[in-house]
Amino acid sequence: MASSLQRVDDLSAPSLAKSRGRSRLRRLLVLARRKPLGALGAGLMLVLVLVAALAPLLAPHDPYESISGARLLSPSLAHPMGTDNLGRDLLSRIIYGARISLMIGVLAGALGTLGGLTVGLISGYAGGWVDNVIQRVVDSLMAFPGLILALALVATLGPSLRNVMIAIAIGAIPNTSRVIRGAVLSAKQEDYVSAAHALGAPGWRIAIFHIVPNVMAPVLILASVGFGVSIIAEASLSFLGLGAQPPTPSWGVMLSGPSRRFMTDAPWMAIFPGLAISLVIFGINVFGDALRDILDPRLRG
Amino acid sequence: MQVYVFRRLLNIFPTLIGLSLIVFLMMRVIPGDATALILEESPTAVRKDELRAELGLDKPLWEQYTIWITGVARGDFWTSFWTNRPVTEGIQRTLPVTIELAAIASMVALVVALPFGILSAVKQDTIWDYVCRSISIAALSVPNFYLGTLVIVIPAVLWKWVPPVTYRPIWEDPFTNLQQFWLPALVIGASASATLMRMTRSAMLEVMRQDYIRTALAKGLTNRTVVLRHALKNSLIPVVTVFGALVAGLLTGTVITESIFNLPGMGRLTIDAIAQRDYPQIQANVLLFGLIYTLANLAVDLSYVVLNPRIRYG
Repeated sequence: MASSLQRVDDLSAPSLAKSRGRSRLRRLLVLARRKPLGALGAGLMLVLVLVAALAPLLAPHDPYESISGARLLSPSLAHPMGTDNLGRDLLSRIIYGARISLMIGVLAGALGTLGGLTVGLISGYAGGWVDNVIQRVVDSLMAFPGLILALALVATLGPSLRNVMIAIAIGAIPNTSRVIRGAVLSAKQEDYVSAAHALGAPGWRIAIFHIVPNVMAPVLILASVGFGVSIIAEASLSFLGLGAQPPTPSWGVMLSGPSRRFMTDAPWMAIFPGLAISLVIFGINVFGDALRDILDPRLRG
Repeated sequence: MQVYVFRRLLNIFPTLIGLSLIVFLMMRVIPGDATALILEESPTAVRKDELRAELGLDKPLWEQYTIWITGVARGDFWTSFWTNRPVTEGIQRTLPVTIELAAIASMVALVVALPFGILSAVKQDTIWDYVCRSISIAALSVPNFYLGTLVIVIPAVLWKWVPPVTYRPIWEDPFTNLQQFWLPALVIGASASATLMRMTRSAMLEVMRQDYIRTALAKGLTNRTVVLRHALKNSLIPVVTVFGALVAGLLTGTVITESIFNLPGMGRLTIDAIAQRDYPQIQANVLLFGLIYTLANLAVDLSYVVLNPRIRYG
């Protein structure tokens, strides 16, 4: 619980209900005051989305263009973050890099969460031997170190941004499915499930229309965690040369490989891309913490 | 209790067998095998199919797996496709590096996380709390390859100092060795302590709300005694759980830090083996990682008995 200066119980049901009548904007403002760090995180996410969407308008240069005579320039008015060893404007590359990080975070995060939801739902709802078999496979996969699993998957699929996304999503499934299975198991015990049963609803219907909506809290929290984890994982894999390939302006690529040789002469080449990653991860971390406090105070950690 | 431990130890086998199957199959679906890469480097008279036969890659998959897994069961982990030496030699060479890194980093994590986690909880919502929490969130937000790059770049730019490049084992040259290890250990330790600190804080907060803490304070015990004797002891279970996962993670996943700081550890050995399609080496490494992970889990579960005598396994 490292999100806000307020106590969690301030956001208890009655106070939320009270604000329900007011305008939506007002309610958001109330939330923002109670969870200042969470609001800061949401703000940072918004900035990321805006930068990614408006990249062509914001970037002063083409991210791929080598400007002649502009190698390894230190930050200046013309190039606020300096230029790299090939004379490319770093600010422009970082702005375009936001698109890659956002895409990876959203797609890999969503794919992983969706995969985990599917596996967890089947395992938890079916129970019996199905559950047993799935959980033993999950056991084995969880014993597989995450980054090594992603490395092996990328080696199988070939290094590219799309494959990194798939590898990250698959890597997220074991953990995610375990958490969701737990939530499904407890939702299964609820009266509304028995009621649906009694009314003769088929199993898949109960699972999709009655259980899934009731495990949305952990799903949303896992999705926010998955967003950050995916961005870090893409940057790490690209850093190791297995993700996005140069000249793609991925933040991980910008910190890796050939550019590392120039880092002592041109430290800005390392400092700014890393700062961008750290800011985004910070944003999603504090946003996720606030989300967790609001949705499920029991999961604080 | 012994029965429980025995049963848990037995349970490790299905997990490891599952893991061995997964890693075996995954390696085989990676396009290209070691023979192509080996022949690329030394295109001597050997023909590709001869080499494949020599390495046993010409047999059907199930047969390759059976041969490998029965060998493993006898303690024979095969030889590396590349060095032609037993894969255990590679592990023996690199494991000490990884263990040293993990040991220093987890000590850093404990030394930083416990006091500041307690401070943060006891002084909840004061400036101390805010500072500790902000730093821990910041530490979690900086990816370790970035932090690693910064701690190399900054001293190099400011003081022209770089850590020694060639690895020296601690038993040969402890001074050089520690010069090499303190930075990477701090880098890994930073995020580990942040995770552990957050857990310590929230576990302490949970316990501090309990009735027995109020009772202890009411009967006039000093704050110090209450915090250390009553609260800390009772909040250790989640902390130990996270710590166990952290140590297992450090022993199996310092790939990036090892490559930034040029340390020949298990992580490097594994990525190199994946790049070279050195199946026996990858398989042995992953099995070892799985074993470490399952044993760490077992150790955590057993520590519960010590931490909370009400927990009994029978």
